[in-house]
Amino acid sequence: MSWIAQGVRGVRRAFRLERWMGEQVERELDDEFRFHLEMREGELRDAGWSPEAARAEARRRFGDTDEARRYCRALDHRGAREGRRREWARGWGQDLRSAVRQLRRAPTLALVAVLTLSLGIGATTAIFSVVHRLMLAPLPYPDADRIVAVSQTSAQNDVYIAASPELVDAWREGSSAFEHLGIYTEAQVVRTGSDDGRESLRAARLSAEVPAVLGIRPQLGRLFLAEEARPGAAPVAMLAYGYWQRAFGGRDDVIGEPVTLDGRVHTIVGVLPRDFVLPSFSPVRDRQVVLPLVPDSTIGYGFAIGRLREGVTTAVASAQLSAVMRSLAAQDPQFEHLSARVMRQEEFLGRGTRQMLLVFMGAVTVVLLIACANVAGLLLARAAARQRELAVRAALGAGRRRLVRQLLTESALLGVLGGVGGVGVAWLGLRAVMAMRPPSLDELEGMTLDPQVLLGAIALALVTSLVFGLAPAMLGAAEGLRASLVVGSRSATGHRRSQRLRAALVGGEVALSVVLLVCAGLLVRSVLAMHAVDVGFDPRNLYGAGITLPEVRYSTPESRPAVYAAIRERLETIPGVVAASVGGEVPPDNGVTFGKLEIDGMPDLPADAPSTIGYDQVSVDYFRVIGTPLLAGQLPSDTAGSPIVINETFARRFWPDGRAIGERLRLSENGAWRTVVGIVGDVRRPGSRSSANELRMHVPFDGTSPYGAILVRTSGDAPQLRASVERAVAGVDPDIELHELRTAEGVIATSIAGPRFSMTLLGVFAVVALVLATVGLYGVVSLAVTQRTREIGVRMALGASPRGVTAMVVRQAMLLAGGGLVAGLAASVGAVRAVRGMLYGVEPLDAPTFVVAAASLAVVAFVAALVPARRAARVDAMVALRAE
Amino acid sequence: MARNPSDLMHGTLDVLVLKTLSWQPMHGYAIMRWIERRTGGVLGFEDAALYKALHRLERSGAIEAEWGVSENNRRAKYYRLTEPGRRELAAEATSWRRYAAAVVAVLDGERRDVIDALEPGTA
Repeated sequence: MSWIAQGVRGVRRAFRLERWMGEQVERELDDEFRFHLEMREGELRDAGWSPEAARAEARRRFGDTDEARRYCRALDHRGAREGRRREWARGWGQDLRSAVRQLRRAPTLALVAVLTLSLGIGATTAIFSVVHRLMLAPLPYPDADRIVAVSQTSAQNDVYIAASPELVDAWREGSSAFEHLGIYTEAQVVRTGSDDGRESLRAARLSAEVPAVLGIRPQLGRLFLAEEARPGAAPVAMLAYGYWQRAFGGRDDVIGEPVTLDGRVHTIVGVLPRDFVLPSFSPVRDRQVVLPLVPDSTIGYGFAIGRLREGVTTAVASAQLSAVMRSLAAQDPQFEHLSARVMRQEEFLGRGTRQMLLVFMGAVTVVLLIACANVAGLLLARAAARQRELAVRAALGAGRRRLVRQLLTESALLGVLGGVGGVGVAWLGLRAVMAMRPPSLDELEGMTLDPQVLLGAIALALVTSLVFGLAPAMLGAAEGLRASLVVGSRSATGHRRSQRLRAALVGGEVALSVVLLVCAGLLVRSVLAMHAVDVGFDPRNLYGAGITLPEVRYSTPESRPAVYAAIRERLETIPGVVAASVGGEVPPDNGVTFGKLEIDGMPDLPADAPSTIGYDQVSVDYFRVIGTPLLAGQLPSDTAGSPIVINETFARRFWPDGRAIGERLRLSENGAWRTVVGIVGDVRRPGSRSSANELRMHVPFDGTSPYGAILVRTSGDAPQLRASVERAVAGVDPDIELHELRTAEGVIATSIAGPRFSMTLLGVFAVVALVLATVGLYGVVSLAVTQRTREIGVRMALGASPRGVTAMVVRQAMLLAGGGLVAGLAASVGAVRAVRGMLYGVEPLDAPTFVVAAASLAVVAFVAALVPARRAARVDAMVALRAE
Repeated sequence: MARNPSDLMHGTLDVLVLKTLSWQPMHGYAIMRWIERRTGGVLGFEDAALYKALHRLERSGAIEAEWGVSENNRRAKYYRLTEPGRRELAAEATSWRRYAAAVVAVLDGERRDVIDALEPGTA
């Protein structure tokens, strides 16, 4: 009967056991009473009573049969149950002690098994806890699945733009999908006048609806009122729970107290609950103080969140908001080619990140399966060696169920030990992941193993012990039972069966590790391709930062160009700086613009013409500073005639014959025509496939905007550069804001960081899988050689050479590995679809990758088979033949 | 043959059963006959009470049971005294004898003994 059928029958029997036991108690009581009555009857009949009278008298003398029966039955049932429980516990105690003894008798097996399991369980625990934290942890609010984020997007939905409070108002009025819709921003405020001196606090500004969106109740005091979020209202603030505890001692009487933030006195009106978190692409958990969002010119943009009405889907809401955007576009051209999208929390994680996490989950599960297969193989081999002991147990009365239970207890013990070790591995693994993590996983900051994870690890350990222990347990028990019947035999069929199973397991391991190798190889090629991308400029020693001119001092556009010119002069005087420019982002980053591309003279543009195009304002010497060549035309120095400069790919796409200069294009029906005056080389961002990366247009930076940027190239390492730049800018005007200084190399590295992380992690998994599979293969071949020592002796006695024997062993081993290899390659063809989205510059069915993966596995398998094969060659024929 | 049994104290039956089983394992019917014979018919009891006592003693571990074949080839439940049961028997027997002696002393005692007991030292 198949194992599944046996298992089902066992479970059914366990449930019937209770009732059957109860029936047995009843039957025994009946028998006992009946015996007594019959004895009494017999005695009375012997004394001369008639049979009917005797029976009646016997019954009368007995007394209240029913009451006695009830009394005794209750007692007996309870006793029987207790007895069963004790028996059961004693059985488990025996099994556990026996399992410990078995492990001590085979310390190497135990060590190898526990290490293997620790690796598998630990890696799985680490990855799944990361995924849990990023993908599954729900917001701690009532009906949190109705909380959504709302974002402006480009028409193709590939770029997200922050919303403004006015836009959110328009959305709220123009749609019926939301119960509440609000917006918030993160902010820094400075607290003064407290005992801690001047403190910089992490703050958030919430519009009046945000608390309703989330559904929070204040821990203390109250939430903001709508009036308090209007200009001119008396300033109020709410404290976050942690900050309330730390800076205000958790006092109940903080309500109404003043706190000075950014120079203004705010009144504390409430304290937020402990688990307050703001939903976002990267949830905001660490705020210290929360203020109302007062719409004014300084708050341009924020993150919009809403609570959907019961039963409304995100699709319906998105459609309604898109309609609002279209009606807005009719009145205000800036909204053309923009759309809106409503997203649930699961979708916050970028699609790329989600796919990466899924791939990791799949890969680590594969590693765990391979580890289980290895341990199962070890146990199978060991069961064959223990046949005699199991036979004795069977002969002493252990049924199949008991034997299986005992063997499963040994597996469970290994599993639990592996789980404990796995916790250590998980901790290490998490530390490694955190250290290497790319910006897309920044949210993992401060993550540690929490009790949930530990519980998960233990549960995983028990489940895996079932996975790897069941087959060996059932086989071992069957063999033990059979051997107990046949005296003195060493069952060859049993050995063969377990060897075949082991071989199949190893074949599977090989196949799985091939899949991982292929996928990792593809990622390696992708990252190499990204590194090899010609970025189109010279990224060495190139620094850039955004700057903002204070509005109060430079309120007119005419006042600003002189400031930028002055800044540039000062930058050039910094020692070590070889070139500076003002205007233009640090390459390869660029800005983005949206629109429906129209080209003068080309009325029928293909329908898939992109609506998202790279866009930047650059000064005339920008391209010289970054090292990108001018390929045709010239670089404009002012905005007369709406000139633009496009990159080579842009020009070639629409004017393949190279006549782009002088052509005109515009981005919307009502926009101004712009004339192409120059073509520059392509600047590329490695790893990006967005059209904003491929097609770029540049307009002259004329210095009239209060928002600008500086770019500086130095001759070598410049550790003091930040300070020097700050001084130079401050020298022009100390109130000019200088934002974070970034390097071009840093931007490039960041864009590759995610794929590099994936490649490294998947590579680690692939190597671990390969090692485990190799160890498994070695074990199988080694055991086969040992078991076939006699056969080898015979062969050698009949004239086989040592080399021939080695060749035979290696050939059979390679056959096994080859089978797994072929299966793995076939499986890879399907599996690479999972990583297709992560590839760059390489096709999923990339032949060299497959070949390299197959070759590395073949080489490793060959070496693993060679060691026992050499041992086979050294077999002394005489010794072997005598040994049995 | 059946006479009305004297009322027995609770627990008396238990100690009698234990003592009976201390001679040899028996089934319930045999225990009943044994006690009837030993007490010369003075102590008889309802069979139901006996079985309740037997099951109670089995649950408390003083006796244990096993199914066997009776002298007339029938399936019967035999009871046997356990080690803890033996100890309990010794303890119960001692306290029972003391109790009985005390009752007898009061019933058979001289008036003088009683006065002596109440006011020691008076003549």
